[in-house]
Order: sequence, then C-alpha cells, then structure tokens
Amino acid sequence: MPPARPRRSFPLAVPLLVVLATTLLLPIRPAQAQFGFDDLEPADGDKIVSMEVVTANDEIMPGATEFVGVRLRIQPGWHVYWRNPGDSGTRPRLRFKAPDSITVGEIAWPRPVIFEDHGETTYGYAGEVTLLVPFTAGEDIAPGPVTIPLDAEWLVCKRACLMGDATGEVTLTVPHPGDNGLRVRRNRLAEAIARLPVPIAKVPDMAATIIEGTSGDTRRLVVTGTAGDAERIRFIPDLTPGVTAGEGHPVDATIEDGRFRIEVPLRVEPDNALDRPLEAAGLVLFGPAATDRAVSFRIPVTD
Amino acid sequence: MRRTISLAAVLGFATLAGAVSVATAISAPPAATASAPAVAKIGEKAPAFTMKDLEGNEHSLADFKGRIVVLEWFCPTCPYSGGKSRNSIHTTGQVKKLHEDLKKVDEDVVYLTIDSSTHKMRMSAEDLTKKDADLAKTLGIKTPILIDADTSVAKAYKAKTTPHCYVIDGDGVLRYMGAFSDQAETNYVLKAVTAVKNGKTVSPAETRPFGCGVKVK
Repeated sequence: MPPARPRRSFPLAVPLLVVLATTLLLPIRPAQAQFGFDDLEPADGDKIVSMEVVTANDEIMPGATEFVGVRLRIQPGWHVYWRNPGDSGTRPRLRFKAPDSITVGEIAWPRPVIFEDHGETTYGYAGEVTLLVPFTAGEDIAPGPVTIPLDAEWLVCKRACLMGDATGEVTLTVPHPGDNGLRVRRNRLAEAIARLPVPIAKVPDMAATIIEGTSGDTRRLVVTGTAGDAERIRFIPDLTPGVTAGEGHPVDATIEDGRFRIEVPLRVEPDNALDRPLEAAGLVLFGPAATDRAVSFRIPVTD
Repeated sequence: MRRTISLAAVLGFATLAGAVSVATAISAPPAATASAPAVAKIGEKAPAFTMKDLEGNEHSLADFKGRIVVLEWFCPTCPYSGGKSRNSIHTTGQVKKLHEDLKKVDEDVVYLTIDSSTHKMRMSAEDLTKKDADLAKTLGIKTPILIDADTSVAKAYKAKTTPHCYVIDGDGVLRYMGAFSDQAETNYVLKAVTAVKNGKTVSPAETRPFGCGVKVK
C-alpha cells in the first residue's frame, strides 16, 4: 500500500496575505458613471433623432389648406413626446417662418403611445412619427413657389434626456391662374393622417360628459361608447390648465356587453388655469399600438 | 513550531474577506433623507426633510422656520437643468437672475437645490456629490445643493421633473409647486415668493412642471 500523500498545508502568513490582497483589490465598485451616456452631451439629441420635412402635395391653391409633415426618425429605445408629455418631458417645438400670405396652424398630433416605467407615465412616440402642420394660403397669394424655413427642437429620452434641434424648409408652389396642365395630386402624408385621432363628434354613439359627483362638489368626466373588438380601452388626459382629470395618469375603461365606460374625477382650480378656458380633454385609445384607433374630445367645464 | 493551515481554510478566509468588502462598498450609508412620508399638497405643511449638502453638512426644512424657502429639483445632465443647452435654466443664467430678483423681494429667502439623480444615473450618493461639486463650480451655483440619496424626498414632494420648483412660507406651508417659469416672461417662483412676502394669495399655486424625469427608487 503506497504511503498516504501528505495534506497540503500553508504557513499562516499565506492566508493572511491572501486576505489582505483580497481586501485591497475589492470592493469592486460598479463602473463610475454607469449613466451610459458618457459619449453624448445634453444637447446631442440630433444624434438620436433625424428630421425630414414632407409635403402632402407640391402645390397649394389660394384659400386652400395643405398639410406639411415634420417626420422624426428616432433611434431604438428612445422616445419623443406628445402634446401632453405626461409626468415628465416636453413636446417638440416647430417654428415655421412663414410670410403673411401663408397661415401656419397648430400641430395635429398623431395618436401617442403610453410609456410606463417605475411609476412614471409619459406619452409620446418611438420609432418614427410625423407631426402634421396645416398651411393655409391666403386668397390673394401670388403664384409661384413659396419657401418657408423651419426651426425644430425636441427632447428625446431613454433613461436620461437629450435636447436636439434641426433646421429645414418646405416649398409649396401656387399654380398660375389658368394653368390647366396635368396636375397629379399626391398625398404623401396619407399614412400619417390616418394616425390622427378622430374627433368624438364624428364617432357615432360615443359621448363625453361631465356629471356631478356623489359626494361634495366633485365632478366626474364620463366617456361612453361602443367597445368594438378592443380588448383594452384607456383614457389619457390632454393639457388642460386648471382642470386635472384623475391623477393625470391613464384610466382603464370598464367594458360590458360591447360598450365601454370611462369615469374620472375632475379637480377644477380656476386660479391655475393661466387665463385659458376651463376644459376637460383627452384621448380614448382603443389599443396600445401607435396604429390602433384613437378618439379625441375637448369639452368645457363650468366654474 | 510553524503554524500551518489547510488550503480549504485559506480559500474560506479569502471568500469571506471578499464578501465583506463588496457588501461594504455597495451599502455605504446614504445621506440622511426625508424623516416623514408625507406627500406635498398646496396649503398644507410641506414634508419635512434632512439632507446633506456637497460638504457633508446637514440641512433640514425645520432649520428655516420663519423664512420663505424655495426648492428646485436639479439634474446635472438634464438639458433643462444642469446640462449645457440653450434650454437649461442654469447655463442660460435664468437661475442666477432669479436669485438676484428674489433678494430684492426678500433678503432672507432660502434657495435649496435638490438632486435626486442617484437612481436615474445609477450613481452612489458619494459619486453624485462629486459630480455636482464639479458642476457647481462651472455653473457658479453658490446656494446649497442637497443630495436626496434614496430619492425619498422626491417621493414626498412628488417631484416629477428637473426642474420642479416649490415655495414654502415661513410657517412651513407649501404655497406653490410646479414649473420654474412659462419659458417666456413669467417666472412662477418669483411670482409666488413675491405674493407670499406681501401676504397675498399665490396664483397660480400649481402649474405643470416640464423637463427631464426624476426617477425615484
């Protein structure tokens, strides 16, 4: 029988050295600034979002209105904001420097999606969004091309936020009188226009009203209508200074027998209205995706 | 006689030492934070807090009894707050101007800048303190910057954005909360402090704040 191999053993000094070395090498701190945006500056939002100006048509007739689209392409994981950004964020700003012969209207906002993250709720757009701006030509506008410069600015966020900006321009041509040449009408913005919420007045059997609450002077916003095949219907509030619907967060509808009902308490504080009319407003979303149907409403609230 | 020890014991000691070191590193005691879980509401006592500034000195709301207190939520990288951009209230000098205007209204007004970004920026309170200390020099911030290490003060005040501003009167009652300004002519903080100082109603008492999100734990 071979002799037993001796157990390995070490002088006591060795483990002490090991302990000392281990203690000096650790703690392993998490990498500093795990913020993850060390290669981006706060004003580098134009590296995350690219902008393009698109016209529905190349021409605009005197007295007519045409949409101009500002298309934002957003890198994956990031998002920009809706008119009401929600708990945080700011909406994109577009400044067209139009001549007096062109009236630039308010942005028509496509239906947003809801971002919910650790108790924070925001509303906005990921991937790509086209903001639609109505341009109206005056009746006396002179024929020929009209070029209108644009300054755009946006906040784009992931875990942190970056500010971006860009310039662009749009050219629309007013046809000469009597120009009866073949004119092809296009609508390059058809898809974007399809994403606009439908006004409630155009939706049969859907209504938004304000009722008195059962206790105190609490008023409640009630929206009802046909549920269709939507599995989840949600209300999101729009910007209404002086009037707060619920906590400002999405509210789920109850769905029963093919009909939905949304009921939200209203907090009315006229002193906070910033001289704007008191209103309750928002969107009813018939699904979570950017392409799902949405209905908009805005109704007055009496003081 | 030389003392010896088995290999297993050596490995055991090393593992234990390493574990203790890691635990110590990632659980460094946070700065003192909110002492009450109250939630901010206009017309009611503002939530109490105690936080450390960049030098490690503690500041509590109770320290300023009798004085008007302004709170401004801050983030060192937010383009509306400490981040360099044309919209930053700091880098464009708007906060500096506000301080000058506030002193004309009330020399004793207290202005506290609060940073709750540890969770958002995945930083320890210590590292955030260092970052803010460097930035304070660049931005010329002379008023205390307080580190809300566990974001509990942001929760108590429902701070949503950077910036998000609050005005508390000398009795500790919250009189304004919301945006720093309307991004045009009106600075809501100055308007609120002026109203409080003159014994008038603050109007608007609440506005919608805007800016980058405050991510609470």
